[in-house]
Amino acid sequence: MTEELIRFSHVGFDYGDVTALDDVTFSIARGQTIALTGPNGSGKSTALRIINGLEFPAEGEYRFDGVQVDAKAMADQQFAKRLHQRVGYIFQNADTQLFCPSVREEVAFGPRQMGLSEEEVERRTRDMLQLLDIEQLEERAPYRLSGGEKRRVALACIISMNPEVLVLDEPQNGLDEDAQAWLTGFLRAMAEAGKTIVVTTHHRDIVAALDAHEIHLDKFHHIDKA
Amino acid sequence: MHIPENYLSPATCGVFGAAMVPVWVHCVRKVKATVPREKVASLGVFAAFSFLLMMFNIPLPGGTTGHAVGGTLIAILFGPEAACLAVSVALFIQAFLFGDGGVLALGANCFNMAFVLPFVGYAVYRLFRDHAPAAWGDRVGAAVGSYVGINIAALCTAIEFGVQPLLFSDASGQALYCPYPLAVSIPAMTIPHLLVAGVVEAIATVAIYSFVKKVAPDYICDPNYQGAVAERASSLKPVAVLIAVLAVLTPLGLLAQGTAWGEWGADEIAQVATGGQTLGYTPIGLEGGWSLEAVLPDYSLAGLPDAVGYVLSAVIGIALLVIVFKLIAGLAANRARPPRASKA
Amino acid sequence: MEEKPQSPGVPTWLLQPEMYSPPHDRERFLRANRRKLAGILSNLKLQRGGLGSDCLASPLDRLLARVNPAFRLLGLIATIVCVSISGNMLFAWTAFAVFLVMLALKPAALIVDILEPCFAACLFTALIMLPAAFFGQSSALVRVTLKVLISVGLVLQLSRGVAHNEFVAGLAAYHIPGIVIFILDMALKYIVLLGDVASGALEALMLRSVGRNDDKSGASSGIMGVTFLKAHDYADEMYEAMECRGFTGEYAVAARRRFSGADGTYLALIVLEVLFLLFTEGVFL
Repeated sequence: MTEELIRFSHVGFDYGDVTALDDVTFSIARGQTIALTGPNGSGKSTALRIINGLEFPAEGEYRFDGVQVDAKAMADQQFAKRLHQRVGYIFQNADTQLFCPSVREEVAFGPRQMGLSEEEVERRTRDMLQLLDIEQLEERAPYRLSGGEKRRVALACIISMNPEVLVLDEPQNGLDEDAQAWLTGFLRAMAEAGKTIVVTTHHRDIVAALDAHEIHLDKFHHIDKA
Repeated sequence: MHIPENYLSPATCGVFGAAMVPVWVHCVRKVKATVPREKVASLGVFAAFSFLLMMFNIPLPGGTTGHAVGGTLIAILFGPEAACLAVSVALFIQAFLFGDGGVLALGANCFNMAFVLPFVGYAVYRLFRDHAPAAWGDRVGAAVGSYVGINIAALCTAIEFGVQPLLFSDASGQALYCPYPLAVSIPAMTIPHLLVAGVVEAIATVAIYSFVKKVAPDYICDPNYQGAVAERASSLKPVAVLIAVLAVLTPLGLLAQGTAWGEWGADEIAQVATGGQTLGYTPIGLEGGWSLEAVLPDYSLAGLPDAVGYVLSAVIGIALLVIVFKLIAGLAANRARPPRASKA
Repeated sequence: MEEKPQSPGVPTWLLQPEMYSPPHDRERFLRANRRKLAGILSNLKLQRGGLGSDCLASPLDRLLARVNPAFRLLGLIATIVCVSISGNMLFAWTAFAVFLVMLALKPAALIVDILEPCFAACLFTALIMLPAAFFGQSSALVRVTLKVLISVGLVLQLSRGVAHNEFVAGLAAYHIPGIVIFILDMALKYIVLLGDVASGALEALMLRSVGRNDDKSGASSGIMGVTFLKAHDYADEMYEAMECRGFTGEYAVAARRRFSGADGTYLALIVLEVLFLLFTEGVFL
């Protein structure tokens, strides 16, 4: 199944006087692994924020699964919530992503929101703690964990909602070599499980390690490197 | 709870501003004594936190939302003196940079929210923390303390409002500032605070305090946290004395000024001759628009020609037109351009 | 470096698409807070060390920019006191006319920026004063509302016309202790930094609020809790950074500006204003 899940058509965006994206067009198919590369300031993070529905294109359009995502669409709370459940976003800075007093509550937050039964919430939490290898951190406060641990907790609390797409903003930042290796392995496992993965990075080696298709942004324009 | 401009007379504002000076001095001294010199500057960070807390909209179970002041919370986390300074700075920034809360009323606002609220709240919190079982004493203390603190502060605000018509009216009985007497201002302020704002304050205080206590109890910087009860009681004394003195002096101070204002108003009215229309006074029952004479004063005072009135209204009218046209043009330009990115 | 994942098998629920239909739950406070925070942050970020591009478009504003911010502060307070004291509405309406003229010369975006909080304050005041009209205190409605409009408008005009750091430095002219100036300056800086933290946490909450949140106050407290923890960390870091930069306990404020012609003119205007007030109050008759 290779239908188009994410489509940017001539998307433009600016922050006041500063252009972030200019006439960017690309599409991402279901199940693909994409590496969004480009130098600092090329608009990679902005593209991610648009994919998540946190910002809307000033020009052009963004379609998710065929439906245009803009201010009007996102004004519908149910549509917005469904988008946020389907597209999981891992912040570049895990510090602000976590806001619960314990790791267990953090991971359980999403499934609980979804109205799953307590047993199901418990099961998913357990599974995530195991999958991310953070069982020993269950009662710890996320705020006080190390950078690598926070990243794992962030992954756990997003994936517990079973999103279709995983969007990660420079996930390798601050990780040592072993942790980076673990991360690429983990993302490949997620890709094998059918998830669509979008990663921004300015490390070229992650592109190969993930066997990803590269979309390159240079001075806010997109240059596709097939 | 922020008192806007012109609800309190400048005299009242002056009294409370003057009253806050010894409070601030006391707080700066206490903070300097208990905290390393360099860290005193970090009060700026805590002031920033206080500012953000005040602008946050907090939902209550049931659907209503409200704003917390957080004075008691900050007192619990940093000590009441540091809280006083942090909240004062936050109020200053709100007043001068955002127009939130009157500039002249800053003294009164600080008195209510930076002095009464945190000190009363903290005293109640300590009562519970020191005498109730450790398992829940501090959290219940935080809830009750913040609830009591904000309601006492609301009462003070109500009294400040309520005495205005008493002391500052013109000769015809029209209030120059807040027109509501105590009989109206007290229930009007205290009931919403007892029912809604106090609850928001209590919930926010307990929830944030519990979060911090669970995640990082060592982050609580109250200098009295480990201190003995006796020591705390003695440092509360000067504060209590201060409050007592203020309570006695303030009405006296206001009364002394009050007569002067009242008389001034009477002189003014005595000079206005025509039509029975007095200064800026919209007659009762005037619906559907003003007549120019009713809102613009009579210009026959000091023999000024009517031209002055016309020039003034012309200037106001033209300026208004320019503003309206600019706004419309701006709107039209926005529509013509491609839609700007907007936040969700 | 292994190619295979080092984690145990992927759970089955992860392999299936999530058939999820979100329930109805109003989460307005998240968006409202986010918008409000973004507004405050963008204003502060823009003006901390300089003025936004719009702020000096009007010739009058450019003239005013030549005046020492300390004097402009004095002018602001003097005007607010005069407006507040004034019994004769002539003074208030004249002040209103001057305010409107100053506003009319500004670009549209700046006008909106100033008028929005002004109108909010006026509406609020008018609503509060309305009942007073029914028991014989009707003048309060016009009088106080107009004065509120002028006062808030003038404060905002000054706030948009002076860079925040210059404004704070201007306070030094009033012999306010250097440490207070320093604290104020730090507060402005950290409102931005902590605001970014709170903003990020709000977004994180928004992105994970995919259903029904039965503990909204708990979640928003988590945000402020995280912000507090960050505040504490920042305070510690600042202390260390100051030590590394050779801080010795003195809070020095930048050298005072020299008295200029623009300053003199401005002060003369303040005097004229006070005289005008006294005139309208009948002191000279």
